[in-house]
Amino acid sequence: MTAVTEREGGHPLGRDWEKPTGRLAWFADVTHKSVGTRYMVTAFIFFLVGGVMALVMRLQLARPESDLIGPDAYNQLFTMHGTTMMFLFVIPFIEGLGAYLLPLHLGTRDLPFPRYNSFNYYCYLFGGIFLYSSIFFQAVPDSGWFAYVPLSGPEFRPDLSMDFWLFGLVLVEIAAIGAAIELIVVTLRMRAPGMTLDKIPLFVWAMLATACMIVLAFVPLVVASTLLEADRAIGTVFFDPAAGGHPLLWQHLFWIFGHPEVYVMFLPATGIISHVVQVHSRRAIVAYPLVVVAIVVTAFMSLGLWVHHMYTTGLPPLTLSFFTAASMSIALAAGIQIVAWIATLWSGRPRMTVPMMYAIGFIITFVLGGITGVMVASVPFDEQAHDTFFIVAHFHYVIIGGVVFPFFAGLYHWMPKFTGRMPNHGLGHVSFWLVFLGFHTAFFPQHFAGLWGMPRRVYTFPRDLGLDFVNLLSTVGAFVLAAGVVVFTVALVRCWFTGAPAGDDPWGGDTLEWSVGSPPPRENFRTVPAVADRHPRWGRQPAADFHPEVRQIYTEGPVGFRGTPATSVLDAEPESVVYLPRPTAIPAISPVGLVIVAAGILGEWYWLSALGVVVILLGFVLWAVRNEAEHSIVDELPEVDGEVMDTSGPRAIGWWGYASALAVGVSGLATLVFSTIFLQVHTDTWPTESLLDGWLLPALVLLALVVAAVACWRGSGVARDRDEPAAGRSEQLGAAGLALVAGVAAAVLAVVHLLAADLDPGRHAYESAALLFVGGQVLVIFGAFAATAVGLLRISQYGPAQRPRLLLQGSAALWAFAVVFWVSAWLVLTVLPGVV
Amino acid sequence: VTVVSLTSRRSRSALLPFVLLGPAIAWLLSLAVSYVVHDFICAAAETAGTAAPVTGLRIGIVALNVVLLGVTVVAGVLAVSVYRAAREPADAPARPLAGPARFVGMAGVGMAVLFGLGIVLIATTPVVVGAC
Repeated sequence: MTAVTEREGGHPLGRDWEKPTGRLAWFADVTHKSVGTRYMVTAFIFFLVGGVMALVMRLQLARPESDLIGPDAYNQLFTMHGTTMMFLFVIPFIEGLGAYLLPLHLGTRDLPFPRYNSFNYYCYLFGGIFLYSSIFFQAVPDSGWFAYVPLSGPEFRPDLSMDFWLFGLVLVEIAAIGAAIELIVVTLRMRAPGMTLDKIPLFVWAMLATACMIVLAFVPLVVASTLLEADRAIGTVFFDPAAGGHPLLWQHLFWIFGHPEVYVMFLPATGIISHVVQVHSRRAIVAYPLVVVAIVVTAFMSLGLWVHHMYTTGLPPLTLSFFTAASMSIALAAGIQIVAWIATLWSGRPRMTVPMMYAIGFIITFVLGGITGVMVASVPFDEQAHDTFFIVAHFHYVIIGGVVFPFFAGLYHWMPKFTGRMPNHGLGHVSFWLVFLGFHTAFFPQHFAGLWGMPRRVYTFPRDLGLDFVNLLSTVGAFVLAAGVVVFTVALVRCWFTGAPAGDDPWGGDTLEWSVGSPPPRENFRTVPAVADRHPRWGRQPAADFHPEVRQIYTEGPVGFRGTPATSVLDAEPESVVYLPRPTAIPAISPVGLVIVAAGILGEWYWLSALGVVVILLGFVLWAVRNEAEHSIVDELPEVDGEVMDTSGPRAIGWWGYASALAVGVSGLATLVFSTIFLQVHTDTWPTESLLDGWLLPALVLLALVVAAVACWRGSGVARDRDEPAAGRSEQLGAAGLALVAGVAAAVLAVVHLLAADLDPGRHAYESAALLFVGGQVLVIFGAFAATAVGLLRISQYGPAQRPRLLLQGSAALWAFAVVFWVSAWLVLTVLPGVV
Repeated sequence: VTVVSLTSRRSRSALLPFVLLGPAIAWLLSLAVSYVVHDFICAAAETAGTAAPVTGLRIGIVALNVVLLGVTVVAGVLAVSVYRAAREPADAPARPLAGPARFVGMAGVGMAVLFGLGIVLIATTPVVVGAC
């Protein structure tokens, strides 16, 4: 391999991974460490901003009948505080930490789709800036971070505040879903050779479970946001009960996202704690398989608990009891992990380092929050406590105790790896005690305040309720907590710039990231490691003859392009080489376009939205052209010891990208179907027969979509030979071309079918749903069209390789999904009204 | 218990997803279908102004959960057999995939127990709480 493109000067592998230079260098660096660091720094800044908002609220509540800030400002503060902490701090920070650490944990050189990772970061950054830009237009969101309708709907919030919230959040959610896809694929397909399922580090297991939850649970919020924005911007009536809509639909969709989100935050935190407890107790975690089981069980069960946020909405008692049973069940899984950590501490040789202090603080605090969680999982108790400060205390115990403490533990634990410098021990301990004591002083009294009748989300309280002292105590505690956060931040900044050299492994860690330099080199591992033990740094090392082909290719190679091995899911056997793209700033273009579209809609400057669409398309076209041009290098490379450089089907990383995209699509479709059926059964004005007449047009749409899917599938089966580049090319071109024509026909016919029905989406929720289904159908067709067009570009411009087959396989899958989408729409809008 | 090995590609592709994901999907179906069937039938009856078929609804939900519990038990039994197949006598030479197979077996048993318990909790609620 080294003969392929040996260069002069410096090591050729290092040259391939060099940092980009020039004016756009910062935007162009797409490696996982660079993007992960940006995520974490941006999220931490949002954390500090959200914390300041909390302090202002606590000042307002420090004494009764205070007029420090008025009710409107208080509403804005608690909305932006919750939104910032949940959407702009915790989730992005987790994604950043995962993006940085997972490749290092897994022994690979980068995430599978580095440019997509960069694109996601810009979506997040611009989404956050867009949300905060509402301040300059005096339209700060104030309907709560949960945005319940009708309060957030067009009737009660006719200004732009909730539009800023909805568009900002959609951008942030797009980023979260994309980051989750990266983490799923890297974990399943890019582990170091030998890292079988039973050897995966616990933080990686936690991130895998989290990423799967994000793909399934975050899509409903994107759909819900689309429905609400449609109600606000174009006058649909999904949430208007007078026209067949239902306000509870928002609560269902929001909490189908919102409850798993609690565990999306909590599970990575448990992964961090497992590492910290393990390394700083100097023994392997007790009951590793049971901890993995607990992670998986928690992830699945979290998907089914959303109704326990809706106990006071008037649902039938039996429905509530199903969710009480489920809520109780999940406590078992959380308990398993806590017992494992305590047993590890008990049987190990713990060091009271700063990360360990935060880990112990987490265990104490989270157990308290978990106990109140079991209390509020009980319907009778929740009905009493639901709108009180008891709930505020409970969820801050869960979120600060269960997430922020582990984050701080993790930051102190991995800061030497990130920066190559040691954080200050004394400052760390001071920060811990301030944070720990401040937190409990702030939030423990709020349990009593709630039980004594203090309502939440209210800007003040009367003097005669007897709540003066507990509120003052909470405010004092909040400021002590804030002082701890300031000390912690100072410790991190000092570490980054002036800390003492840390060395490669200051803690005696067990996982692969401690085997490389601090900070890690650009390519992570000059020689890709092989793994023979769950604790690669503590346990046995692989034999000298373990995977010799891997050693041959990945010992200071490959050279000429950025490469890393793809391995099988169960046993991590090397299967192919992943081609990783080079730096470019192109992924930043489309997120700019998304913001322009949103700004145009908000200002009703539709020419601006059109310009935004052009920018989005331009970004994607440039991206695709650049990708395919660079990827053509793979056509020229020889096979090495039977190692296929370029492949298709499940062995290819791209195939897993398509599969993840399909999972997102299926989740979105399921949400649309659920929403429409929910509205149908909960309103007595739903039409009893279809308003979409005729069968010919729907049948033609279906036929066109099936033709597109079959054409791509058949095209993907055409084998091409390097010795005869022209053979098979025309078949593949024909297949892709036919699919494009059929797809355009299907989109046009679907729109004609909708227009022929003369529906008014502002008249009834059924008609709103019809508009949304057809809009969604066109979007799905556009996605499949774009994928097919990229395939066509590839086939027409470059030589024979497996990649055209892969692109056509992905396109076929997307066209097949378009078929399923159309059939689902037909069933829900045409068949069900006459049946149910 | 029949001993099932994970060493063949066929058994891996068929068994692994069922052992690891079967109980989880059974639990999700138990909760989701119980909720959807109950809530939608009650709501549809109320909207139409007719009496909901309460007895049939309760029997149906319990029956559904018994079936799903059965699926979970089968997955657990298979997980036990996977674990047993992967156990090696002390003097036997190491086999490929024995470690992952043992892990899959243990994890499968754990998940069958936890999700099975969850299904039992959901199944018993229609017996003690009135429908609609």
